[in-house]
Amino acid sequence: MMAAVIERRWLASTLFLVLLLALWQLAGALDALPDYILTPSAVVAGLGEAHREGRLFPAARKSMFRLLAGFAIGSSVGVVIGLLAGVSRVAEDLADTVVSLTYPLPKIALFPIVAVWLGFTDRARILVIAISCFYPSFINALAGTRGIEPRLLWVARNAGASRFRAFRQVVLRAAMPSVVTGVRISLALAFILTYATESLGAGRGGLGELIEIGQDNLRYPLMWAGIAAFALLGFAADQLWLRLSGRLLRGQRVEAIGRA
Amino acid sequence: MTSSRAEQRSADLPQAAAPSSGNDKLLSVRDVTKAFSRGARRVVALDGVTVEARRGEFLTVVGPSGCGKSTLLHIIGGFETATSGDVEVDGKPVTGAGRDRGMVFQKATLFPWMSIERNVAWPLDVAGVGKSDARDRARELLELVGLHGFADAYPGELSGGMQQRAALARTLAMEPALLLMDEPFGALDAQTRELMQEELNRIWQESGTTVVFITHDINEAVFLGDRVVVMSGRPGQVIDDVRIELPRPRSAETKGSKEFGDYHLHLWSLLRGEAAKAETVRR
Repeated sequence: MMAAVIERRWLASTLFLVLLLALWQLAGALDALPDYILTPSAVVAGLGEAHREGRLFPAARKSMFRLLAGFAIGSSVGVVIGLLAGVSRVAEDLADTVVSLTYPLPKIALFPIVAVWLGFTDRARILVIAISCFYPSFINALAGTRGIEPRLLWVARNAGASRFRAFRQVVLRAAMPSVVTGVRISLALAFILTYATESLGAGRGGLGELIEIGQDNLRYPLMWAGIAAFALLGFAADQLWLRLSGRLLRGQRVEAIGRA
Repeated sequence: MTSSRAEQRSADLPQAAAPSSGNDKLLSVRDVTKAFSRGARRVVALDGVTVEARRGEFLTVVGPSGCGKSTLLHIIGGFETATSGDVEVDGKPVTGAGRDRGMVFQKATLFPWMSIERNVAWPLDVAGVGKSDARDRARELLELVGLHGFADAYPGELSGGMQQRAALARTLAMEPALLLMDEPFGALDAQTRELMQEELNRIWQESGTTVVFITHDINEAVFLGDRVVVMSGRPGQVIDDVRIELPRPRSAETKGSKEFGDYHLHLWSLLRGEAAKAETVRR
């Protein structure tokens, strides 16, 4: 029965998406769209065009390399420091003020400074993406450890578990739903920052540059190809993360990803 | 201090046995006071509480909400410390939490990321019991609490009553000399609750452990207890200690008996005033 319900919901959301795309396509066929808004079929054609020109895959590879490197570094450092701050008063005091002060800063504003140091290189872009990914992962990992149900720790005390065991087997596991939520937000931010860093400075490459080239030369199919590639990769990455966390966190799925 | 009051009030009912002697006495709470500061105010939660329990006895503690009965249990469990007075279990002073005093909380505190079986086996794992032995023991305990066939389920997949059964099994895995239960059925619906009371009765008789059971439900206190300790509203004091001489095993019919009704009436007469006071204090 459960499977049937899930299937029906999946079907409903897919049908709705198809309907939106059909309306969009129809609006284009009726000439109701300005020339810079392409129809879905023209976007697909744009992807084909970018591919034939040999631009699509190299650009996507370059973007994904930067994105995944920045995401992996930033979110893992964020999670580790967040968990430490959650269990150590000293670590929390050290990290908290710095994080609070720098959190509201748009991280892309650091890119010009980083570029003075590292040049407009992959390393500079990865660093800016990583800095941005750090925050949601840190904040959620900290909240996850701080917000742990205190009775769970009493259970561990009652059983005579050492502090280390309680941290490893109770605190860490209890914080996981919060941790994966933070990492998921970091993943979305990585896409935003990848585009942002690829639209600034020299040596851009990547899908960001593809979009810029399309715009500068009024080649809208190229522009849309870049946007569509970002959207599809972003969707795939998010789904992959949801599935992975759902599989690893059996028993905590609803907390972690909002569905059983 | 409270004994004269207690004698007066329950003159028409059988009295609690005189304090037992020797190693028959498992739990001894002597003159325990607990105060904490809330802002500038000093709140006294427990005031000179003295309670004893014999080995194998089922002791229920009933009192209005906010009377500090949970605090008392937490102190016995070693999770909180008393401001003054002392607590001994099996002749040893309580200095912290320990496996000899197993706690069952109001909300089932199972680890949601572990299967029911692994939850129950966890205390054994902590104690260094081998994996397969721990598993076998966990299966036995699940059988005891009526959760046969749910070993591989996760806590989120079980009802509240079943979660409490599993939590009880996990606590029993520590083989505590003293089982401390903090309104364990308080969050359950009325029917599940009745069922769980009967089940607990059976499990207690099978395991032979000593129980201190906190509740605000008079029916529950009488149905389960060998003795009911009655506490006043804040500051919590013991105002009566009633021996319940209903035959065992007790069943649903027990609750319909005249004796049951008499106990209920007596306890309610004690608690009515306290409950009313607690109610006005809150307003």
